[in-house]
Amino acid sequence: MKNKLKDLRALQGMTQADLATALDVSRQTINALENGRFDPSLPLAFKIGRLFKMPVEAIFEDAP
Amino acid sequence: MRNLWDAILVKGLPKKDLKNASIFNFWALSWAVSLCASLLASTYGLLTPNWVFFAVLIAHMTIGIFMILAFKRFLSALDEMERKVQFDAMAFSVGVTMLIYSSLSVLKFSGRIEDVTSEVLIFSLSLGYAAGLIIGRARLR
Repeated sequence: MKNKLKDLRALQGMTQADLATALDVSRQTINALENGRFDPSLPLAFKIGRLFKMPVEAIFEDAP
Repeated sequence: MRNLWDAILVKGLPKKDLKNASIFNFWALSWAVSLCASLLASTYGLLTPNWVFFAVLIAHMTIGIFMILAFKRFLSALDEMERKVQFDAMAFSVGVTMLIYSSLSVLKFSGRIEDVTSEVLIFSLSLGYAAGLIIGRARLR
């Protein structure tokens, strides 16, 4: 699944570690999410949406 | 290669997860020691009075229960990606164990080996689990 997590994080001036702390996950999870190697659960996706004040579908895109 | 080393050394795991893993490792080691001690004592006939046998058995089972509880706590505190790595590793180890055990059973029934002992199960489960963890972490990180 493609996502805009890396761009959104950069816009907010956050490091992967900052985002990991904000979402209560490990930095490795953020790295895997940004690189599209791991898809988040719905609760984590909504948490990300709330953090960036954006709807989930604006952050994550279902790649064919 | 760096990914593989990071995976083996569990680099980047949060402190609370490392603490829970250490607690689980302590109980797992205690369980293994109690298993070996019970088997050794049984082999040398040191468990002859019934009350000694049942005391040792209950101690071994109690340590096992603490090990399960520590593992449950470790799993529930993990973040979702690391939990996925753990579950994938468990599935991998079960698959590897079934494959090894069924192959050894075929060898046993064909008379090529004498016996398939339960130690094979523990060994293949442990090896498969460790390999699954390393593969999973190297793949996802």
